[in-house]
Amino acid sequence: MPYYINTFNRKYKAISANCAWPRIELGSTPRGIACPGPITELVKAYRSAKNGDVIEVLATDPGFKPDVEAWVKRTGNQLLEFRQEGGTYIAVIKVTAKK
Amino acid sequence: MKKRVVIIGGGAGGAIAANRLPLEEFDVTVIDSQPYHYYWPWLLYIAFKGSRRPMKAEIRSLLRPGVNFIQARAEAVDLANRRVQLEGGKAVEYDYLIAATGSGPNYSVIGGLDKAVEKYGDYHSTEANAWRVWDTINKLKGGTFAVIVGGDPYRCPPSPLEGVFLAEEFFRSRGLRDRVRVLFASPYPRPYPAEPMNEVVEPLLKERGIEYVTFFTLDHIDDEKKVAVSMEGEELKYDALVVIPPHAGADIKYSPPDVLTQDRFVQADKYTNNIKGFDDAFVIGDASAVPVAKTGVTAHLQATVVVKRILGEDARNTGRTNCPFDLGYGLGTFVISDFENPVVKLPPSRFSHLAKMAFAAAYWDMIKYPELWDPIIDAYFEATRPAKLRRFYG
Repeated sequence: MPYYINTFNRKYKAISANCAWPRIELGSTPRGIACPGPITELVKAYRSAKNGDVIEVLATDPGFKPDVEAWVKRTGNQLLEFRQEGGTYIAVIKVTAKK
Repeated sequence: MKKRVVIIGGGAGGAIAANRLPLEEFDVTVIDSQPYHYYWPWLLYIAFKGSRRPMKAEIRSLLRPGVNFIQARAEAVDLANRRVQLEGGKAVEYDYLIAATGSGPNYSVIGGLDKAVEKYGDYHSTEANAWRVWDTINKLKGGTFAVIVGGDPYRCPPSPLEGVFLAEEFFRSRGLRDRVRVLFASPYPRPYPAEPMNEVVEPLLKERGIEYVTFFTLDHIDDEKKVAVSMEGEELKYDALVVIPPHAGADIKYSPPDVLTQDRFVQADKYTNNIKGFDDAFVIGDASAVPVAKTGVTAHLQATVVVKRILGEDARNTGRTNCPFDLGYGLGTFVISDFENPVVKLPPSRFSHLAKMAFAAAYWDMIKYPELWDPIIDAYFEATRPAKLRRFYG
């Protein structure tokens, strides 16, 4: 399940494994598969993001859509876009809710 | 001449690798900054059961005769020149390197966390801090006991909820359950991030009246007001709290520096554990940035693969996890998965709990005598392959 997270000043390429736990990998081509990872990595990027930053998360897990929608609803950040390109789900989130 | 294998770190991964390399072919040296090997899962039982069972042993006593041990801090690893720089100016050269340097809490990520740990303790750092948790729960006679996941990564994926379940059991056994509210908060969508395992634990949380808050990204702790504050400004009131701290890799410089991630984990191939770009250097266990759980099982299995690779075999990791998960009241389960299979929905049982305890009892023996335990461990992993278990448990 490859997915990327982009913020303004950083570009993450992240993978998650089919495991109890996902992990981030900088640089190389994304590879890897299935895990509850995208939200975990989103949260990691969110921690260092500022209001106004845009985070883009790519995932191949269809379960990502309800998770990211619930995250946005709960945290009060903005989901600018959710689209599907082939087998990839892309969420574009604007950070607006940070205190 | 014998090839020199240098292993940094005498924990589970390092000691297992050291005890498996044939000494007639290799000159094996283990380096650690301090003399002890810790069985980290036991912090949980100090924190919530007040267990006095020893959780550390001298590294020297766990290594086979003939394996060298150097007690010194490794300061830098020069991958191109195959050198490990030690404190005090000494250096060790190697033909093969195994970095097994673990991970530890990084309190600086969350405001006020260092002070909170000093006051209430935690169970992901030291014995002293785990004893502080035991004091904290013994002193608490009413109010809210909160366990909060501070962020990824941390050792042992099930550990936050294990603490929650054991705390609830503790307060109930003391007759305080109607006065102490047990609260769990995590930044993720579900109490347990992997859905199949969540289907096992979420009903247990409800059944036991444990409250939980999801999507809570901890920003800072205000202990004057006794609130944990999220990044969106949401406040959780507590009377005592234990935070699972986000971890970082060991403070060792690498050359080239781009093998490290921002939080100092070493990037490697997930199948071979080769450090990115080097076929004579490996990183195993918590220290690596590969996408697998940070647990002793991972370190153990990766150590086995790396030893085989050094011996010339084309061994590869399967990504197998096997995290024991204490659910309180003598129940347990295991988080079992691999690169090809998602987490198995293994129902709670007394057997799983007993298996966890039996493993803990045999732990030191397993480290010391791999030739004795390997067949048993191999048989266990074969019998519990996720692809096989999924046929029963989905």
